[in-house]
Amino acid sequence: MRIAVVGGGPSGLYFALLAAQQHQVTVFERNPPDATYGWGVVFSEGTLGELREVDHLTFLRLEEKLVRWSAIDIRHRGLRLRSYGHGFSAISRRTLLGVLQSRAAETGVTLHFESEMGPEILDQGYDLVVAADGVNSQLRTAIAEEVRPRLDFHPTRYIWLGAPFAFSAFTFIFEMTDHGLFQVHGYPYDANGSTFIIECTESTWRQAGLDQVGEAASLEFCEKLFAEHLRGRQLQSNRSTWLSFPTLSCRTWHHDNVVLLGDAAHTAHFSIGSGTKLAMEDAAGLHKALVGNPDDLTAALATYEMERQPAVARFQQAALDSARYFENVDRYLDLAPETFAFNLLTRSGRVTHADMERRDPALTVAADRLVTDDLYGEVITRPALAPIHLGGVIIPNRIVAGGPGLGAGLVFSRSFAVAPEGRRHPGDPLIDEIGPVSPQSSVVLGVTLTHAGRRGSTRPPEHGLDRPLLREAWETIAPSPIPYTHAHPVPRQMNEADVLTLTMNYQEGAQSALFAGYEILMVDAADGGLLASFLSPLTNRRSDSWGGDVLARCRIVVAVVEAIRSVWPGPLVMRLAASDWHPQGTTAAEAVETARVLASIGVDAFEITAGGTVPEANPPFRRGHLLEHSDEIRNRAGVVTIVGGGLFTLDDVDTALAAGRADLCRLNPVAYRRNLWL
Amino acid sequence: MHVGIGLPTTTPGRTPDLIPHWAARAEAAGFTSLGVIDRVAYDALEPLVALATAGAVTERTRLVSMVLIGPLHNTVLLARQAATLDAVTGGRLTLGLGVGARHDDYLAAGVTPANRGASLTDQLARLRDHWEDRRVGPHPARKGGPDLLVGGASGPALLRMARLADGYVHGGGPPRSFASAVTKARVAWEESGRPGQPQLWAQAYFCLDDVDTGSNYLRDYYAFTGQFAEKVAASNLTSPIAIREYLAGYEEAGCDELVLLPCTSDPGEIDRLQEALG
Repeated sequence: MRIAVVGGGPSGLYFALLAAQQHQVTVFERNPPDATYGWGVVFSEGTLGELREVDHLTFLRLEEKLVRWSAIDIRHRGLRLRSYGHGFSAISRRTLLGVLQSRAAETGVTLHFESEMGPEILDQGYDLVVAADGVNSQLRTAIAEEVRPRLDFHPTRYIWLGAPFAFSAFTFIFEMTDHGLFQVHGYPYDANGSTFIIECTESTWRQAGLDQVGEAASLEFCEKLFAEHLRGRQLQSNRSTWLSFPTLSCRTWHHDNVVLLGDAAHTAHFSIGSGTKLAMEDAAGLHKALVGNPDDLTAALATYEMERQPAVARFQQAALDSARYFENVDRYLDLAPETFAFNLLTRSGRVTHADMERRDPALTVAADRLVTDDLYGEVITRPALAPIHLGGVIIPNRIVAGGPGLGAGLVFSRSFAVAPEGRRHPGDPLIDEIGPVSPQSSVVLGVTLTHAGRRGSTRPPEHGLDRPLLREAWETIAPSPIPYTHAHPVPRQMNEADVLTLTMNYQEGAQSALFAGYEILMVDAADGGLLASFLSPLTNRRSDSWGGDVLARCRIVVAVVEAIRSVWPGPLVMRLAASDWHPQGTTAAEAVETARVLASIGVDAFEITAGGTVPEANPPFRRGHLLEHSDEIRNRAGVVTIVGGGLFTLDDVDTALAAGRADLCRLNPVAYRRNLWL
Repeated sequence: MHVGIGLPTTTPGRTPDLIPHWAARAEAAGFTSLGVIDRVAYDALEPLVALATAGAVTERTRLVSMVLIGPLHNTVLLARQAATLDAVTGGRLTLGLGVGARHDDYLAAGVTPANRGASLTDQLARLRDHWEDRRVGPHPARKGGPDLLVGGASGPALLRMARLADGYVHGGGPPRSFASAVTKARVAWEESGRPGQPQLWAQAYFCLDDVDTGSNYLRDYYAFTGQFAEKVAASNLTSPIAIREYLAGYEEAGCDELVLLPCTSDPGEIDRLQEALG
């Protein structure tokens, strides 16, 4: 085939030199051979292994130029914490391009530099046109209708600078200023140079006046801010400006005989350092697909896309999680240094507690100790098995379950409705059915009080939720007369007398729980029940004192807590929906505020959930999807949290605990079925 | 993991006796279910009628739609058809429903595709209501009616599955993508507070003879998806090794039942598949 590659960056050159063994390949690059933007690029050990397999000669030449290191430094509040065992390597971008250019020349690739090429290439009779022309790809624009590119800009600003010395590790620096927090992502790329990326939130950037100044003043600001770390050396700029990082995704990566490669097809936030890695893996993937389908270009391009798209999507998700971490680092500034480090190192979800134990046992033990806090003088082997004090009760481990006999330290019984109209289904138990339990040494028993509100009066849940009863239905109550679905009857809007009755019912429930011998009481203010519908602006449209802003909406929960507190001396847990998964629903800041208010009147812990408020929701279900909410409420409101939401293994639990994202966890039921723990 | 086989309801070159012949032979070969897919604006057999035909010549095999385009059907009539099929086959129907992906199917049926997600949600609740309430007949074989499966990978689709169905049916793809969908389905189920676990069903195309004809059929059937058609054709399982690897991956990911769909109307495919499974 005659193949044109537009763009002589790492992906274009690497693909060209691989494909040139079978095909006639021409590369068009708009810059001269020695032009370079950016400083160094970073690879993980895994990427290197793959490059070794794909083209050994290129690998050998790159290998001798690589800087390798295994440590990550975290500099924060004047401390330097070093974590070992991570295995990175980097190379200067100029060197990388040099090696690829010379290999390309050797393998017979025709290289045209200073040769700008746009969509006109499509009319020049090539069998395959490879668009490796970067995130602003002109070729992609020409086929935008088919590949449907989508750009999402991250809400932080960053500037890509160089430093004239080699860091001895991948280095994160956090510096607080009067304008807000700045962080550095730095790593060496040769003996005398490091990439030095500075990032901050948009508001910090504006408050520091960086939106008003040019290149020189920006550089001066940064040098002054990081003077202690630069020790008199200057930062290097290459017409660098403050940018917002765009995450690019495309529905498909090819159309007819045009195929997208690297940054032209996708980008992933720089904080997981994967741009060049993904680009070169794309090149290898496309080459492999062509070799595997020698006579069928269409099948080859489909195969390339099928192989690469899911792998890239996983990285993009990890990059998104990592980017979100850096948008919110200010939430972690009070964490202990080891917890701070553990949280940072596990931010993208790709590194777990078990990985950390292998990579850096010392740091992991230190982070674990902050959780395992030796209560009995016993050696606690892992965070998940550490006891925890909660409101005067010691829970023997960090696992919460909805049934006995599973090894969990805290077991909740079924939920009891505080009033007959508050039952979700006809068979649900009422608080006067709370029976005595006998205390057990290995497990703490808890009980949940609930009121289904407008989700009440529905059929049993075995065949589906929220189907109203046909016979023997009862009137439901809610803050506002809005039915749960159009099939539900309109609930009665609560009046003052109903509120008083409700608080008394909760008090009575707490009293029964106390007499029955339960040690922990949970109040359900989630899952679209009555209290949850007061908290959410979607379902509370009241104009009296029980509706309005977040404080007004949580007044009824405050009243319930106060009523319970007058009879219940033990630990009190509130089940709270951190999000309604709805654009007009409860905001993250409101959920934090609610937790803060409730903690101040005696709620000891919060079980963080989301959704259930309205059926028209768009939930982001995936492994550990509630951890971000738990992390935010725990670290912003300074409260104890319980979290579930797709935690499948004890490793998931250990990771969440050691990183300070939660204090107790619920495992997905399948973990028990598969006997994945104990 | 159970393994089922698809009925050739969309493949070219069908003879009048193909469906009963295929169904009986598949049951004899030990496949645990017979699956049908749904497409209106195409030379395809109507899925429930095809399942009824298959049900008449089989005794044990589960009959499953994966998936029927729900919003194209009147819900009361669909409830009755499904209850009838369930009643006359002794409770062997598993009804998978989805919104479909083809605009032309909606156009052909004269149904507006706007709000199709919401109509499917509503339909799932009302199907179950009809089967339980028994105000329209017939009574399904099982109390409460057939099991319902729902497909779709988006947040709202998973929520719909967890709130109103008995399980999840995956649309196809490599084991790794199935595993990721299973995680999401399990999380959705957990978050919704449904008791137990969702049933997990999946499907894949296979073709063990005359691969060119099979691939051409897939390209034609999925032509409306543009380049996706090539991906479907490229992931067609065309060798016993590919099938066995695929099965192992799906089983590992927790699949309860995998239905392998044919790409040609040749009943010899049943025997070749049985042999490939060993």
